[in-house]
Amino acid sequence: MLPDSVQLLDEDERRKHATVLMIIAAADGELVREEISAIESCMGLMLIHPTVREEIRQCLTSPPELDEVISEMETATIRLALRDGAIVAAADGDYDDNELNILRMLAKSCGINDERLKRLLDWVNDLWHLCANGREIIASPMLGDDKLTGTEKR
Amino acid sequence: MWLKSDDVFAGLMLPDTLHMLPQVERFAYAKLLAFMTRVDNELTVEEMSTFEQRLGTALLSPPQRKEIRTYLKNPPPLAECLAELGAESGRLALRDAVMMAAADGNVDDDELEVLDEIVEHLGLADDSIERLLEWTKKGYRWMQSGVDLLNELAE
Repeated sequence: MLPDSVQLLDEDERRKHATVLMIIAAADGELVREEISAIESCMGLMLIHPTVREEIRQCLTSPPELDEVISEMETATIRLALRDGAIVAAADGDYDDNELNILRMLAKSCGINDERLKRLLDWVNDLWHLCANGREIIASPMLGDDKLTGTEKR
Repeated sequence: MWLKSDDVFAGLMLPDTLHMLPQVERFAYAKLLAFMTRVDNELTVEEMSTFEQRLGTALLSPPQRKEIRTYLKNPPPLAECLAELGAESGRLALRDAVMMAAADGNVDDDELEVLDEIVEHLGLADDSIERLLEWTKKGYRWMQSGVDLLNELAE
């Protein structure tokens, strides 16, 4: 079955998880369609109620302080937010310094050091290769896919 | 910035093209996925979660999502779904229909039959489903490796 555990979090933890993603997306001062798509995707995956999603979207205009949000989060949720936040941060094609700082703060707060954080970012990198291979099968390539197809690490 | 991988995404944006399609095509795409959820007459949490994830990726407006969710109760005919799909949205819908069919851990005969019809409608290669199922398995292994990594990091 679909191997994920975000649906198992309680409603409040899922809300905080998504709020962290909003903070990451807003961190570089630019909000691109790809970041919004990544966040909406994650909120969908977590099966967050549509009215709660509306409330969470408001965070984009005035994001709360990260330390306030994570101080009330369970460690397991912070780790999941770190994982999904790394995907959101990468969605615009690169990690901005502000985004990396937030990822580091999240990692530190759940006991993950820089060496281990790098492994997580490498894991995110694999997604790009995987998706390029999927597009190759349906003959629907994106510009730049030739750099990624056939080079996946797994 | 040493944290970054050497080949970070080759500078590419989010690896999906769904959100770039015209809204009408994204709606048609979601309609087909709604149809897929009901093919085996069961709607598992995993399927629902994958469905909602794809609706989110598609960046449909909240009212459109609400409309699409009504199709979960009253699925539209497959022919109607296929007729509304464009070439690009059709291919993406096939890819994600395979992913959704596999979300509950099993692709049954009814689901395979529908997937075959979609392939035929789109004029794609006969081995498309087989390759997409293999690709889906790789995707699930990738997701599992993320979960494993988090667990390992927690040790």
